[in-house]
This record gives sequence, structure tokens and C-alpha cells, in this order.
Amino acid sequence: MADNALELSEVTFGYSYHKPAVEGINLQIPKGGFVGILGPSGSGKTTLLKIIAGLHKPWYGSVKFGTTGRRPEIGYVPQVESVDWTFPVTVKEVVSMGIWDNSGAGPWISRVAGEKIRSALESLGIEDYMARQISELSGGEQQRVFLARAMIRLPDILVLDEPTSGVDYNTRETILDVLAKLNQSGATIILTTHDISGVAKRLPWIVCMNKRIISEGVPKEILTNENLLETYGLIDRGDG
Amino acid sequence: MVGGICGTLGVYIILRGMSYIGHGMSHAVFGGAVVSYIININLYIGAALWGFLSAFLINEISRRNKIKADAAIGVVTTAGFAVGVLLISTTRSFTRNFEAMLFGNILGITDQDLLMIVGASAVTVLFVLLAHKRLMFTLFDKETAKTYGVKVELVELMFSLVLATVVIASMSAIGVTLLAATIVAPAISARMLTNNFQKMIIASATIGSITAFAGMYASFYLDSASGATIVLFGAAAFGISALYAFFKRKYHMHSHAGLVHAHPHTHTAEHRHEHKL
Repeated sequence: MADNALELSEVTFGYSYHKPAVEGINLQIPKGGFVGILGPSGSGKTTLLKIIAGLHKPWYGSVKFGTTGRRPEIGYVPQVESVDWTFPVTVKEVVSMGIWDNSGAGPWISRVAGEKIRSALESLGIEDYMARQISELSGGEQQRVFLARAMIRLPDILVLDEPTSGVDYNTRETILDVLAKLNQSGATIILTTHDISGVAKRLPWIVCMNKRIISEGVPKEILTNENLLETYGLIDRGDG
Repeated sequence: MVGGICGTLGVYIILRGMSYIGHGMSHAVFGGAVVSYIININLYIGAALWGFLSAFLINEISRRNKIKADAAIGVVTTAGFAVGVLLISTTRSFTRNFEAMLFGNILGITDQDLLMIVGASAVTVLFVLLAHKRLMFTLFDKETAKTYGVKVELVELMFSLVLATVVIASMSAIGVTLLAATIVAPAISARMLTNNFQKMIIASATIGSITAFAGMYASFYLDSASGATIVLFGAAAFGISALYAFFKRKYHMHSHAGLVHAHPHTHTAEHRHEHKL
């Protein structure tokens, strides 16, 4: 059996008492896996990612990383809507946040860190934007800047919340290509999406959830009408 | 110096959306100052304890509960101020005049006040130099900062404590009721002038220093209250910056297909304009 990058057992968490946002989540993600979490708005996808990223501690259950138990380097890409894009910082400064602990002392960005930032931006084709204010970027460019900030940490696990929402076709393809390359180089990738045909169908492994896990497997077997109707709350099997 | 450090911290405060904290914190320390006078301890020690306690409570209340920071600031700091007012109104044996603390008297500051200002300036500069990256990350994207190992709660608490130190050091010169404007006015003026974080800090500290110096100088010649004069100079700086931003935007305004808008572009010799985006 392959090593697991991540193992969640009976994970339950919510924001107000007696109202769990995710309930009894059992999930094993192998090292080097590429997993898409599919579900409607309010299904607990973002909450689950935040639990994996260490932002929430589960009420019950456990989150285990690998066989050593040591917390791996996790790259987190939040939804672009979660930050104020009028904030007065440049693309370089935003990407430098990914290596805030390794970019030189004081408020300045070291020359070595500057090179790392350039190369992260180059891999996403946006190196010319380095000196731009983030308020000048389009939605797709903002998404790529966030991705560069996560990639620069060379994460073992990359967690992305709706990385393709609100972007055009070309940007979506660029993002999926970059993620596929990162995955081939050994990174475990977990992303949320509600885009069934554009994203979910193309991923190697899909988890359908709506507060709890409905089903998981390869898209061809999982994306059935029955599973999708249940995931989107249109039918209830009553076995949950 | 007071104007410079208030202006520097002001940038982080307005970007954190907590403009009210300077106002609140300065009122809270007034309560501490009155209490320390009554129990006969050094004014700065009482004000510092009170200020740090307020900073801690604001942080904890807004972090642990559903209450937003501005509401927590409103309750904690006004209560602190109310304690001071209550004690003054019930204790008739006061010999000290608290007017200078309320409205500021820069010409009456003592060597101890000056030492506090120098100390607070050094703490602020050191803090900003060492914590800038953590602060910027926390302000921009708190959750990712936390994931990447920034101790965001500690950063926010440290910031509030440094702010409390600056407020305490500045209260004799500016006055607790007027201090908020010296924190916020230079920062929002700088925000009007630039989109660059580092330039904004430099501009805010410069505007803060210039308006404080000009205000102090003017108050000497006009024989007016120093705090109020400094604040009015700060407000004037904001007015000028807002006008500058308005005319700059107006100059860059143009229309395509009847849609009037502004964005970065350059004008060519043929009086056409080319988009940078």
C-alpha cells in the first residue's frame, strides 16, 4: 500500500455549536495524489481545506500527515475573493510573503529571494508583472500570483481553494497545466472545485462531498447522476 | 518625532481597518493616568498598565468572540476613559490639572515626557523594521500568513502594545482627545498620494513630522493649543492630498465607447493614449 500524504479520521468541525460544517470525514490521500473535492456552495469544501492547512482544529477526529507524523510543508492558496485586492502592495511583495521567513532580515527582500520570486513568476508566465500593483491585475492574474506565492515555498502538499473560479479558459488551462507539472514532480495536490466538466472530469481522483463524503474515486465512476444529485442536495439516500 | 511615529503606525492601522483604535486607546490611557495620580504612582506606569490591558482585551475580545474589533475598541476604551472622568468628578482634592493631558500642551512637556517620546520612537522604528514582513502578510492575508507559520495573534498583540506605548508617550504633547487624528491623518493623506506600501510609510511619517512641526511652530506664534493646531495642520494635509488625488484622477480620466474611467496609460506625441494594461 502506498504511503499516505494525509489521513483524516472521523473529522468533524463547525463554526457554531451543534452545527457542524463537516461531519465524520474519513479521507486518505496518497503521496503524490491529485485530488479534487467537488461540492456545492456551503458543502464544507473550504472548511475541509482549512482543517488540512491547520487553520481549524477538528472538534472530533484526527488529521495525520505521512508515516512520520511530522507536519509537511503545506502551500495554501485561498479563494481570491478572500483578500482586499486594493491593498497597496506589488506582485513581488505578495509572492515574497510565501518566503517571509527566508527572504532576509528587515523589511527588504534579499537579492536571492528576488531571484526565487522571479523564477516562480516565470513558471506561470507573469514575470513582467513583478513591479505591478496587485490592484492592476485581472482575476486570472491574481490567481496566478497566489499560486506563485504557494509554489515558492516548495510545498509537499499544495491546497487550493477554487483555483479556477472566475478565470477565463486560457488561464484555467495554464493553472491546470502548472498543477499537473507540480504533481509530476512529486507534490500532493488537493483542490476544491464546483466546475464538473472543466476541472473535475480531468482530475485523477474526485471526492464528492456535502458536509460528509458522498463518494470518491476516478471521475468516470464517480460523476454519475445519482452521486451528483446527492452531492448537490437534490436526493437523499438516507444512509448518512 | 511624535508626528513621525504616529504617522508610521497609522499606515498599518488604516490598512487594518482599525482607524478607531488610536482614538480609543488614547482615551483608555487617560483613565490609567488618573488612577495612577490618585494612588500616587508614576503617571506613565499607570497609563502603560492601563493601555497594555486595553490592548490585550481588545485583541482577545475580537479574536475569541463574534464581536468586530471596532465594537471591542468602543467598549473597552470608552470604559477606561469613563473611569478617569468618574474619578475626577468624585474626587475633589485634585491639585493637578488634567486639561493638558486631554488637549495637549507641547510647550509644557517635561524631560520625562521627552524621554518617553524618544523611547517610544526607538521601539516603533525597531518594531517596524523587524516585524514589517509579518505585519504586511497578516494585514493582507491573515489566514495564509497563519498557515505559513506567522504567529498572527502575537503580531497583532505586539502591534497593539507598541501603539499603546506611542499613545502614552504622545499624550502630553498632543492630548488624548486629539491624538487619533495625528495617527490617522498622515496615513490617509499618504494613501491618497501613493499605492506603494513602503513609499506610503515614508510619506506618512514625513507628513506626520512636518504637520507636527508646523503645528507646534504656529501654536507658539498664535498662542493656540498645540494639540489642536497640529491636528488642524494634519487635516489640511489630508485636504491637500485628497485634492491632489482628485485632480490626478480627473487628468487620467477618459472614455472608450462612452464609458468614462481611469487606468494607467501614457500619452503619445499625437495626443493618443496607450494602455499599460
